[in-house]
Amino acid sequence: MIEAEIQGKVSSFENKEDVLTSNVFGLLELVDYYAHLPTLIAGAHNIKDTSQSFENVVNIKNLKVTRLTLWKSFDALWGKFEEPDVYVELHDDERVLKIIIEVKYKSPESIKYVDDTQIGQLKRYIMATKADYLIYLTASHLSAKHLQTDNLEYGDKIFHIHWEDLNRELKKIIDSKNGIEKKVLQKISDYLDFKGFFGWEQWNMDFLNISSENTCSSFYGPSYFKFDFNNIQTEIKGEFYAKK
Amino acid sequence: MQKNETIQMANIIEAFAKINNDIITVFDKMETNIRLYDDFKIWPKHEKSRRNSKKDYYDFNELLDGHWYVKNCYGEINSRVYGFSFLIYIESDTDGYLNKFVKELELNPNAPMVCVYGVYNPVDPKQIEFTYNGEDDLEQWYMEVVGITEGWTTFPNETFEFGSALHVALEYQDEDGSIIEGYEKWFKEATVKIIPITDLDSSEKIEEVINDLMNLEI
Repeated sequence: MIEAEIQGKVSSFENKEDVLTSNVFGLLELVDYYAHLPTLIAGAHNIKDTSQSFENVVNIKNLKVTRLTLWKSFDALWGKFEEPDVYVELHDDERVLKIIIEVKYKSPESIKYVDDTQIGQLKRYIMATKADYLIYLTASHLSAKHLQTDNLEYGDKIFHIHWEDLNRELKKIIDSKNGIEKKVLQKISDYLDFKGFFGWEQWNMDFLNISSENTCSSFYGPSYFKFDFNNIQTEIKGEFYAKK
Repeated sequence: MQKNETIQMANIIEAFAKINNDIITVFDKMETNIRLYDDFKIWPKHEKSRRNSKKDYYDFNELLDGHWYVKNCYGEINSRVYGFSFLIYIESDTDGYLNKFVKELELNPNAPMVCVYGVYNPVDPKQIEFTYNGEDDLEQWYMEVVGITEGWTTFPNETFEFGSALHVALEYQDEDGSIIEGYEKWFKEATVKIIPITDLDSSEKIEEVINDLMNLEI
């Protein structure tokens, strides 16, 4: 499916969140049963206190995935079942942790009315699954700002991470691996790159060794554009001209 | 040529290559973000292998020939056209239609390095095209895409500002109210904004700009 999507053969699946979930988590399973998943989501940030990372709060990198199910059904108090994208159980010697991962591109969380009360998707999942934590994995940096306000009741349990950040962590892992493991992880990263989930920090200007007398205070854009090409002293005689 | 001159030329080439890579990265991320809107149907750009050419449009990657370097991304939602153009390098146009905003925004006339994004209301949604039928149509095509031309009846007289919404309209009807021949493929009104490409300096900023684009109203 990944190859078909990258080659543009299944464009109708372009924004299907279930396809994205299946492709990424399907391949992650092949590497020592999701051995790298804890590291990949460790950088998620709490929605109430963004200074708190998932790793800070849970120390998740020390845990090992023992069970992962896609689209597992849970009975809900309001008479219907809930089906989060990813249900994960992790263990170490002292703890068993249950985590829900909800995968999104850009769509907002769904809303349901229970006894005329509006309940957001994330809150419903936590209530139905009794999960310890929920990771909101999205393609939007603004997702965490647009959550339903009723989620704040469970705000300590909800963490947000962008696909870009997950892919960034994945690339770090790939650098230290080899063989089949490296190939599988690289395939996932290539797929996420194809989806556009690659990092963009800032314009790369480090290579320019411009002396201080050639800098200016600003360009048209951000402050790190601290040079003016017109002032670069090239000592090249004559003029550049374009081929006509 | 002296060695230091060669070194400096090499540095300029290296700088260009890396800046160009960044420009393409930013453009691709813009396109990724706009594609994430479920209802957005992106228009395929011209490739010889594509059969869909009705709404075809191009990128112009002719910088090395000293001509145009313009990247485009457009599509439709609910009969409105949304999209953006990166005007990176253009042929000298000191007396042309780009002159007004290039001057007022104090841009380099050959390398304006701006992103123009906006929403366009077609004269006829069923006939709208970003066509390019050959050399003779180049200027016409370009005017349509950028959407800021002296042909707009409400071409803004006020001072251009980066990031401010420009509401423009096209005189597309005869005195009797009928559509002027050829104008049925064009836009009757639009709202566009101009920002420096270099302001697109993070994934968050890119997402904000695309959100702004998709929330523009005419």
